Amino acid sequence: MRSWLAVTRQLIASYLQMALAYRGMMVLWGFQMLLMPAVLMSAWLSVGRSGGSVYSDSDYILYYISMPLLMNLTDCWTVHTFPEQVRDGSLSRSLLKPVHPLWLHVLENLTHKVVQLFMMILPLGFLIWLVHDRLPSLDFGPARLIAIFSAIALAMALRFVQSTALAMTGFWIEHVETLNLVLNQGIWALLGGMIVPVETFPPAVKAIASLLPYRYSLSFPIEVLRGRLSPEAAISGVLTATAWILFFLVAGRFLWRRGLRRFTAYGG
Amino acid sequence: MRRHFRIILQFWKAHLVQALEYRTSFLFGLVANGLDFLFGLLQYGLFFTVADAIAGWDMPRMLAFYAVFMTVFSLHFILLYPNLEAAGRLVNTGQLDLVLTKPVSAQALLSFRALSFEEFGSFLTAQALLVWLVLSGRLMVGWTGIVTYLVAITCSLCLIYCLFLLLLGLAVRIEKLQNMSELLWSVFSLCRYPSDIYPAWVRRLFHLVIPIAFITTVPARALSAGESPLVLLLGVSLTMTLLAASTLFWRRSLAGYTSAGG
Repeated sequence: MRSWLAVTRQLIASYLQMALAYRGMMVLWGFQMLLMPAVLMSAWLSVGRSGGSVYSDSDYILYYISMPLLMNLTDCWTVHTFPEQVRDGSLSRSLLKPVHPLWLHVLENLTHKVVQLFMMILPLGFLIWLVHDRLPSLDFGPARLIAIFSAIALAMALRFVQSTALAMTGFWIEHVETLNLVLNQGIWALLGGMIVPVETFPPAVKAIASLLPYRYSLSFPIEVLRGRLSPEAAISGVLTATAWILFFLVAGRFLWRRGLRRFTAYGG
Repeated sequence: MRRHFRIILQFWKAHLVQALEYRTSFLFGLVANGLDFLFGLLQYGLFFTVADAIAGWDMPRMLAFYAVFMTVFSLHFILLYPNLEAAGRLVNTGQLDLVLTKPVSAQALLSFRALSFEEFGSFLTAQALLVWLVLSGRLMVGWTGIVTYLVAITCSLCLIYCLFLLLLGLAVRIEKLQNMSELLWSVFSLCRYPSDIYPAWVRRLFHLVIPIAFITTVPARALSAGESPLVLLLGVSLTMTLLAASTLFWRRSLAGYTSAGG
C-alpha cells in the first residue's frame, strides 16, 4: 500500500510536468471548448421559441456557461491513447510498472484536467462577467453543493469508464476512433444535451435520453446546478448513472482480461 | 496547368487504390460518416421541437443551411485536411525538401496530393438533401438563386483554401502545426449556425473583417432567401483580396524556408 502511494505520487508529479509542457496547446483547447457552447448560447438566445418552453433565456445562459467546465472535466481521450499503446507495443512497458496500467490513464487524465481547468479560468471568468447580471439566482447551500459535486464526480467517472471500455476494443479492431465517433460523439452531442438541453426535450425523447448514459456525463450535473429537478428525478438520475458506471466497469474489465491474453500471445 | 492536373489525378488514383486495400475499414468509415450526418440532421429535428426559428431561419431554410455547411465541411475534409496533416509531417521530417526539388508548383502539390474518400458519404448526402428540399417544394429556388449560390459557394471554398494556405505557410515558418489546425476547427464551430444569431457588432465583424459569414451563411441565404448583390460583391472582392494575400504569404514563407537542419 505504501509503495503504491509513493508510485502514485511520483506518477502524478511526472504527469503534471508533462501537462505543463503543453501550456500553449491547452490555452487553445480551453478557447476551443468555450467557443462551441458560446455559439450554441447565441443560437438559443436568438431563437423564436414556441409556447411552453421550459427554459428561459437566463436558463440557457447558465446552461451554456457551465458546459465548458463539464466538457473539460468529463473529457476522456483513452480511445485515442490506449489503442495506440496496443498498436506500438508500448503497453508492454506500462505492464511492467508496479501499478495497474489503466491506473496510469486515470492519473494522466486527472492531472491534465486540473491544468486545463486553470487555463480556462481566465476566459471563462471573462464570459461569466459578461453575462453575470443575466444568470438565474442559484442556491449554493451545503446540501446543494454536495449534490452538485457528486453529480460532477459521477459524470467524470461515467465518461471515463465508458470511453475506456470502448478503448479496450483496440485489442481487436484497428479503427476504435471511428467506432467512438458513432457510439460516443454524435449521439453524445444529441442525447447528452449539448445542442438541446435534455430538460427541454419532448417527453418521449427525454425518456429515452434518461435511460442512456449520455445525459449523465453532460446535462445532468448542470440540471442539478440549476436546481429544478424533483428529488425523485435527481435520485433516479444518480441511480441510472451508477448502474451505467458499474456496467462499463464490468464490461471494460472483461474486455481488458480477454484482450490482455490476446496481447501477450501477440508478443510471445 | 494541365500537367499539374495530370499529376494530381495520379496521386488521387494511388490514394483510391490504397483506400480500397483496406476494404472493411473503408466501408466502416463510410457508414460512420453517414451516421454522423444523420445525427447532425436529428439535432435540427430536436432543435425545432423547442424552437420555431433560429434568428429568422425556419426549419426548411435551416436544413438547407445544414446541407451547405456539410458541403463545405466535407469538401474541406476530402481535399484539404489530409494535405494539412501530411504537410505538418513533411516539414517535421524534412521531406519537404524533396517536394521542393520537383519541377512542379510546390503549392499545387502540397495542396492537393492527398485525398480522403471517407467523407464522400457526407458530401453526397448533403447534395441529396438539397435536391430533396427543392424537389419537395420546401425550398423555392429560381435560376438567380442557383447562380448566386454557385458564386457564393465558390467564394466560400476559396476562403477555406486561403485559410489552408495560411496554415501551410505557418507550418513552414514555425514547424509546429498541431496547434494551428485547431484554428480550422474554431472557424467551423463559428460557421455551424447562421451568423444572424450573433449580436450586430459580431455580425459586422464577420462580414467585413473576418469573413466567417461568407463561408456558410451567405451561400445558404443566396439559396434559400436570396442575397443582396452588394453582399455578394463584397464577398467576391474579399475572396480575391485574401486569395492574393494568402498566396503571397505562402510564397514569402517558402522563400524563408531553410530546410530541416537550418
